[in-house]
Amino acid sequence: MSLTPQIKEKPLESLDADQLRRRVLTLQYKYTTLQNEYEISKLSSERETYSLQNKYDKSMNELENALKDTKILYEENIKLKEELKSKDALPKEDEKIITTLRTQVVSLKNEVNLKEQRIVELAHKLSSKQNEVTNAIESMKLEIEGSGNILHQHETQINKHVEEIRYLQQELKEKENLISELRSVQTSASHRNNSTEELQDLAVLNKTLKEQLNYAKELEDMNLKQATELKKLRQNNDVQSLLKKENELLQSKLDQLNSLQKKFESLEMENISLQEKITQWGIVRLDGKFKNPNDVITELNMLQRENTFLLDTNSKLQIDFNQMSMLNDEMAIERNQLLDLNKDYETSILNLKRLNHELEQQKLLSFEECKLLRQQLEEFEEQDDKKKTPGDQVNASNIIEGYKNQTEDLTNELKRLNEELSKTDDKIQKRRKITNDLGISYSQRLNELILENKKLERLLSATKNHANILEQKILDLTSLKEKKVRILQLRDNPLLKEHYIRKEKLALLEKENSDLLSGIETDAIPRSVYDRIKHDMKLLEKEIFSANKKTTRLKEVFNKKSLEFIEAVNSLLGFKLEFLAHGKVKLVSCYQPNKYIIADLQSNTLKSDLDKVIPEWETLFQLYVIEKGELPAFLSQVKLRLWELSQP
Amino acid sequence: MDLISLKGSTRIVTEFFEYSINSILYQRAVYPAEDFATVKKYDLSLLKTQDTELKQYIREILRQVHRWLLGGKCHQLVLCIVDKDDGETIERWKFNVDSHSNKNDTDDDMNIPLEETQKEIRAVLRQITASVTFLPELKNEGNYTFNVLAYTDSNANVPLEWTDSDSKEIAKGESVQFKSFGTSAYSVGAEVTYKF
Repeated sequence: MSLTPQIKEKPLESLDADQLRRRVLTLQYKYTTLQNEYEISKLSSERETYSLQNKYDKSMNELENALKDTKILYEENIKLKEELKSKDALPKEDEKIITTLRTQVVSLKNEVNLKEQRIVELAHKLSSKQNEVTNAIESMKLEIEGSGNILHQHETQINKHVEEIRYLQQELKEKENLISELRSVQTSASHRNNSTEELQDLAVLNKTLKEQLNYAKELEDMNLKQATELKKLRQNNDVQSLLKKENELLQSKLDQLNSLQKKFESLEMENISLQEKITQWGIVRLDGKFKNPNDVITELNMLQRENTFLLDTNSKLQIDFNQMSMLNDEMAIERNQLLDLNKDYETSILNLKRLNHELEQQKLLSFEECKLLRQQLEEFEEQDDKKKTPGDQVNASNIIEGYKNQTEDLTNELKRLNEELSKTDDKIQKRRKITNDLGISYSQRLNELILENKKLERLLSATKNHANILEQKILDLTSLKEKKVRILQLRDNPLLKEHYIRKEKLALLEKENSDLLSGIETDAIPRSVYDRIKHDMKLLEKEIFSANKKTTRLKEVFNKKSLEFIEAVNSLLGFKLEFLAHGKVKLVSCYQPNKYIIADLQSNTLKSDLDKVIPEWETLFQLYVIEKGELPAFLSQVKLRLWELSQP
Repeated sequence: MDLISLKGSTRIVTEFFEYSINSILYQRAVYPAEDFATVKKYDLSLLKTQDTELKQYIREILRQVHRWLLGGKCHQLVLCIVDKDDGETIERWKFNVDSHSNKNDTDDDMNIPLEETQKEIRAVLRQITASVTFLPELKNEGNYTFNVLAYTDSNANVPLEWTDSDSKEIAKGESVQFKSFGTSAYSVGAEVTYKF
């Protein structure tokens, strides 16, 4: 575009007064215009600063809002964390409840079922929460994607705008240049009475320029807004990433919870099976003194020993019982015999009674006879009194006296017999009483005897045990007295060391086991586990030390043997062999230790500096190596030549 | 008997103990074979440990046994091979030491030449080496340890490093008697008892 011809300024010396005045006037005009421009620019800059101040205030407000938002978010985050903690605490409480329930497993099965239902509900809740969280994540992801797209669009728009702004700025610069040119032209033309058309054009141009300037400002505003939006979106993005991380953490915790729930279920099943076993075995009914299965086993062993001892005593008692029953039979036989004897006695008593009765009858008869005789005697006396003859009286008195004597004898005899009978009666009664008492108390007595026998047997066994113990003690004491030999061992011996290590390990494992059992409810790992692992590590270090020792020993042996081999080869074959890298072997003859042959087994080549020592080297090499392919023969020849050369 | 010959005899016996313990530990694979190195002794190639710890342990035992032998307080030395897992004694190598001074023998009868003693020791050590052929195989190699017991008089001086032990007998074990050897002061017999 060609606007106006360039004004060519002439030198001041060549100008006249009018021209100079004009020049001054133009310069004054320029100055005033520049001043005006300066003021305009100053005003515009003031406006710009004002607008920037406004923008700054706006952005500050936005920043404050954003800070408030972040604070709210932070608080929300803390709340969420607290909620999370409370959520974490919830299963622990459940577990505690479960542990308490475990103790009342049998009696409170219904409650356990309720708790299980609750757990299921919680699991459902958890799953629903999980679903919610996943949905929220998905929605957030979608939002992020949307916002990303918007961001991208905005960025592209901003880029476009930036490009447009640049383009417009360039245009503005061009226009400004043009304006400055036009102004200069105008000033020059004002003197030349420029046409109004050009002025109109300039006004239009000025208007368009102003419009473009406004448009550029609007674009700048837009740009700033978009930048703030971008900032917001970035902040949102950061917040989303934080939320994402938190979500991931929650997800992992949720997974952990699921795994723990599964573990808990499996443990519950195991517990139920163990409880079943316990109820099957009836361990619950046992005493509380059995704290662990070892106690039961030891008690069982004790009981087995006691059982064997009781079996022995039972067999002994059985034998004794048999003996006693035999004795009882014998006693029964004796009793029967005694009963028979008693019967005999009774019969004899009856006979004696009969005899007594007869004797009584005889007595009565004799008494009656006596009466009759007395009557007869009285009759005779009456007759005698009538007759009164002295000889007859003497005879009669004699007869009477004889009769009297006879009666007296008979009465005495009777008395004696009566006494005898009464005595025998007493004896029989006494005997009968005794036998009856014996019969009644016999069984009682037998029982008493059995009991006494048992008591005695117990006492006997106890005394026997006591005697055995005492005998053992005596034996021990005698052996102690006889013990003149001591068996000694070094305290620091391999066996005791091994025992000590094993004992230590056992103690650590027991502690670890007890700690783990006690802390099964909590996630914390007990210190004893660390101690045990430390101990294992020590043992492994020892093993490594011994393995290293072994390898060094083997290496030593290997080196020794290889040296022996090399020495043997050197002394027998006359070449010292040195194995170099890459399959090369250096042969040094014992006759020429300064020279050597290097055989490359990989490339199948031979190098040597012996060709300068042995004059016929080439011919020997040609003959033995190339023609015949006999390298050992060649080496032998070389050795022979070197020996010949070494000879004085 | 003069002190010099007694000391010489005791040294021979303790030396024999050292080589027999080493041979047993090697033959029964209580310690790995690479721990042993061949040495010439009694015109035999015998194996001796190179493990410093084990060497120190054997040396400490034999030093004290030597003292007890000189004092006539030690009558028996026992090497027990024990299972590490259950502490059960698998083999029990017993060396009886009978002092001639206890038997009231005359000095002339007991003057045994050194060559004769060495010949007898060779025979015993050969028997110990050959015992691998009839002894049961120790299956868990590396799972065995050993202990040395010294049978002394009750009035013997016992250093603090030593303590009392049980006899570690093998119940219902099979026993095999080896040859014996004699010096001018002692006669030493060997026997192995193993779990059959």
